[in-house]
Amino acid sequence: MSETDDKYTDGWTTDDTDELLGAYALDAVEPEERRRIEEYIASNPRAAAEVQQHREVATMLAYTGSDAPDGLWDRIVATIEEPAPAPGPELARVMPMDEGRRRRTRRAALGRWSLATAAAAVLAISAALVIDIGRGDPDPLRAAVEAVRADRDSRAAELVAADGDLAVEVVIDEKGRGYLIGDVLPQLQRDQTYQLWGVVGDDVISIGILGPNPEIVTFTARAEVAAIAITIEPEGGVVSDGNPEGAYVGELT
Amino acid sequence: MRRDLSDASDAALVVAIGRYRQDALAEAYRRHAGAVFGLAKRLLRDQARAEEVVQEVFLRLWNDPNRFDPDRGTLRSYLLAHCHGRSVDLIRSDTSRRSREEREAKATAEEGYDVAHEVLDLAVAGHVRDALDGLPDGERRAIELAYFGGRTYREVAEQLGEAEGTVKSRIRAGLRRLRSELVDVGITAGGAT
Repeated sequence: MSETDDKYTDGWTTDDTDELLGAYALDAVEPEERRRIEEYIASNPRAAAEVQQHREVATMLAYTGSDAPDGLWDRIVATIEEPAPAPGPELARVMPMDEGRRRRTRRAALGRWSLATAAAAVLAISAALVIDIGRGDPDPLRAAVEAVRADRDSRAAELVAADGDLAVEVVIDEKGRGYLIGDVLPQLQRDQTYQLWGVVGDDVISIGILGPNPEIVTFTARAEVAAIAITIEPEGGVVSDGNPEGAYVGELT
Repeated sequence: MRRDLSDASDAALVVAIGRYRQDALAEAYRRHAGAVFGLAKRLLRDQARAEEVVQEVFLRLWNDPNRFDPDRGTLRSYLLAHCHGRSVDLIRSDTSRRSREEREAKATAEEGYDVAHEVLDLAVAGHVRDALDGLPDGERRAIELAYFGGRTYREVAEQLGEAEGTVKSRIRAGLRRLRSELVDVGITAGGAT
């Protein structure tokens, strides 16, 4: 979108977007607003520069001069060097499904692709794909989901448990903007959260924390992500963990 | 023989990280991990989770150094931006399970956002504190609640009883004013490194 395109079809103007650049730089906007702003600044160097300036100011606000805790660097190094562990009982549990929850006849395309195989080497690195997990007003997000569904260049997955119960639909547009329609998921206890994972080669990498009761969640996933999985984890999620074997998973097609 | 990285620029460090030089990551960690941890802990108020976020931030730098573009800002701002986004994500994950009434508890929500009490006695921090204190009250509170409280501008507006448009304008204007004030006293983004 160029600066001369001063209005979206729903009345959202470039002035609206400009006014939000400060809040955007502080991560203080809703997911749908974030999406629009990112589209805007991608083609608007002036706006991109303004965001960068705001972020630099925020950098200075953040400066506390504290020291990182002892031992943290050692843990990072250990993670870098750590060989992929074998799946074990300490990994995430299979996600339960409510009785009577709707079933769909179509199963995820897991026939030729085995997540269990892909997950035999369970992740070492959690953050490589993490960009932004957002939640917000579901109505505009549903409209965005519909648009992605209708786009022939988009990718989609249906996340299915081993017993065939379908839980969640995921769609990802051609730019890697993903939407997870999580409102069919049962609400978890307060000390639990759903966690979203992406499968890249033999690695399963955290995309983000969804909370105990997600509705529509936006995220970003690069083209290398071949499949998506959801697990249940302790509150706050886990940095390097995951057991897609048994969790709800789906191949992106 | 490998060159000592202690004098290398941040951009050179990232190039070296891209070549799998762990000593370059160690140097980046030495320079910036304290600030990243400080921000994460301030936002999350939880040592263990703050440490997890720091770990994520530096692991992403290790795994995907190309995301950092030195033409678009400093390494510190890049790392802090990731740290802030991830911390806010965790905060919102927490708050999503709470009632809105809890989130609207104005009396307590405004406590603990006094930058002056948490920023250490450093030259840069002192200037930042002065500049922040010099902002109009509405701008300062909006920025503090959004940045250090992990709130959206809409939540800030609700909390302060202001119009959403007012709050987003105040955040933007306040950031611009802060930048101008800091530039005037010779502080640039790189000055906090």
